[in-house]
Amino acid sequence: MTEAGEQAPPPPDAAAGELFWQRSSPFAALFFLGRITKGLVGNLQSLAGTSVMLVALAQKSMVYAVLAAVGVLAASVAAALLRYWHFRFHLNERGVRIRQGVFKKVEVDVQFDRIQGIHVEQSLIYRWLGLVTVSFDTAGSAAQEGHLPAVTRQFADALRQRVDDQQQPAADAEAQRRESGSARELPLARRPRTLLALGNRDMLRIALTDPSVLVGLAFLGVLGQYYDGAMQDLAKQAVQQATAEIAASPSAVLAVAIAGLLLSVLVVFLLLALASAFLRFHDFRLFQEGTAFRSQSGLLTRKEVVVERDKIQQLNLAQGLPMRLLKRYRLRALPARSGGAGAQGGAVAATQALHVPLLPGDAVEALRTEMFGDEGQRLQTLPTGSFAGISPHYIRARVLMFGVAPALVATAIATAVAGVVGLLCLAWVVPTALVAWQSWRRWGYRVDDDGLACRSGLLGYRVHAFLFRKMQAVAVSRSPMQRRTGLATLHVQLACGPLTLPFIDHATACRLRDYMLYKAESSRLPWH
Amino acid sequence: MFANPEIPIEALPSAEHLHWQALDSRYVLRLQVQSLLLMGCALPAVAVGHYFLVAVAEEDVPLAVQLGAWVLLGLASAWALIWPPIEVPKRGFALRNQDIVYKHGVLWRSVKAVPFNRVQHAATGSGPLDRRFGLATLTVFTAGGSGGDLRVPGLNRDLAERLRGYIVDRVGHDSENGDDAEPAGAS
Repeated sequence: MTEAGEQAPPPPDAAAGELFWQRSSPFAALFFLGRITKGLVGNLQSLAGTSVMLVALAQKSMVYAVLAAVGVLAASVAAALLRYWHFRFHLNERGVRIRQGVFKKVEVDVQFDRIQGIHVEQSLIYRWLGLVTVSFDTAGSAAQEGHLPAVTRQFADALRQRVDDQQQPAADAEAQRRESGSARELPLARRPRTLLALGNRDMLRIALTDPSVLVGLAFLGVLGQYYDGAMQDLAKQAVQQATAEIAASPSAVLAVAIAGLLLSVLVVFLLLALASAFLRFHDFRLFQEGTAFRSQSGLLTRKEVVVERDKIQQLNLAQGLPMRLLKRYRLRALPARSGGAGAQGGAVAATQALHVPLLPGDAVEALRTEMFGDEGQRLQTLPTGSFAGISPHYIRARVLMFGVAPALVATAIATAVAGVVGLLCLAWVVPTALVAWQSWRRWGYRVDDDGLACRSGLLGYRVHAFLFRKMQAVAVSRSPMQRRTGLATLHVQLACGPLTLPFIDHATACRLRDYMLYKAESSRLPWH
Repeated sequence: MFANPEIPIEALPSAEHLHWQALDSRYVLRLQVQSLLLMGCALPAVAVGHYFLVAVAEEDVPLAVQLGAWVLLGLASAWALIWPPIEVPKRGFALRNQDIVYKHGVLWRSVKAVPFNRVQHAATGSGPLDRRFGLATLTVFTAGGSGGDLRVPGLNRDLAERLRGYIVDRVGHDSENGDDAEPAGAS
């Protein structure tokens, strides 16, 4: 703790002569130990190898096994200490340079003005010690992100201030250049403004809408069928020996045991979901500080994510079926992704994104207005709004591709093997048609002068909204069938991932593409 | 003087009907040669497989099974010869003032555009076969990951180099003008 207390941002002129390389607190070794353990556990091969070795040794002699386990542990600790010893960083006006690596020296230069977001994480141990781990997200550079483990809270705040100062002039200048004469006052108030706070009831809501609870319920449904039978047995017996001791009869014991099991399964799933909700999102707070958005959450490990407004590439709104019942949404603000390919809407970027786990509809619109600024004022993101639908030919294409084609192949094989019964495979077309129809109903888009919101989903809703000027590349593609019916698919590539709008009018797709290009090419604002 | 005239949507330049630049005509031959080389590698494998099938099997192998692989190989070779002359003319690129557009596809057609002010960097590359035919591939990288990259294959090598130079120039020039939003005190 005393070592940690010594840390302070060096005076700016310290960089003039020799570089002032500093170490973080020795407790950073804990961070490295955590990473090494994660690496060991995450790497199945090494885990399997180690456990096989341990088991083999344990059969020979317990002493060897314990010795080997201690050896592995000692090696990990030694490696963590070594990595801590070789970890130095140097802070200057424009960024942070991190030098690390025991055998292979790696030096990362993180420029403040390139930072997409800052994450501050505080585990339980670090909280007692008053330390935090700072991570930076930088766009473009392939997965080469920087971590500063075990620095003091004050240091982290000072660092964030520097990043803000570095980015603020850019944001201000840009704000001045925004031509719309809206009443956005300058200089911006830098005082944090709480946009959203989640309480304990919201934790319960998050737990109830957790997918794992759904899995638990499905599991219950399957078990419930067996339980019905047992219940009837119990009723019969109760009638037969109304006065006799029911609890003593084996069937009754079984039924009660099953009932207890079922209940406990449900309770366990709920408790797990609740625990996970509390662990991740306890005391969730979303602040706005000038042009930056900051979220804090977590019970043991406090996690803090900061994303500058101009770095946000896309807003993802999701509402699963349970969320619909509770009339709540989930919102993600995605910054540019650092390296790697991802699914639609940038699923990979989930860890870097600003994640609001639960919010009501009016808060969605308020947040969207804050995050898009003056642009996209009419770009309503709530899925209930009016969205232009896509062509019903979408259903035909989906049914042909996922229904008819596989069904025909399966039927051909099944009839050859099993005879007429194989024709049953044709029934596969029915569910795919239903799914295609339902997802066609969900698909929709909404355009305003500055951006596009694209809705999809099956039972729930997903809405992806972005500003045209953030676009990286755009393509219009047409299948033979789309050409016959005058339709096209629009592909938009954003810095956080791809976005596809299928089966819209070809002329509309071309107009959207040309307008999007015009917006991106005529925009003088930096896209990140 | 700041001017901001309204632009009617209909007057926006369309990326649909452009003067498409065709790829180098030698690209057809290059694709054919590449496929035939692959088939040439597959030929001994099929021959060895056929020999073992006949030699090892205890009973007579039906003629259809024996010839199946040869027929497939023949069809693939024919396809490799016929397809490039059909497909390559459908590819084309167009350089506009603000972006580069690339179209491709015979049945599934696609037109893709990348604005210069979104380009991260540009590269040219040519494999051994490309070099023999004097061809190169131009790749324009954006921040959107691999899905946002624009790849134009089969360009004349000189042209590819010139295009890359032009695009890199444009990117540098644009960011010089566009980066005045960056803090001046940063340097």
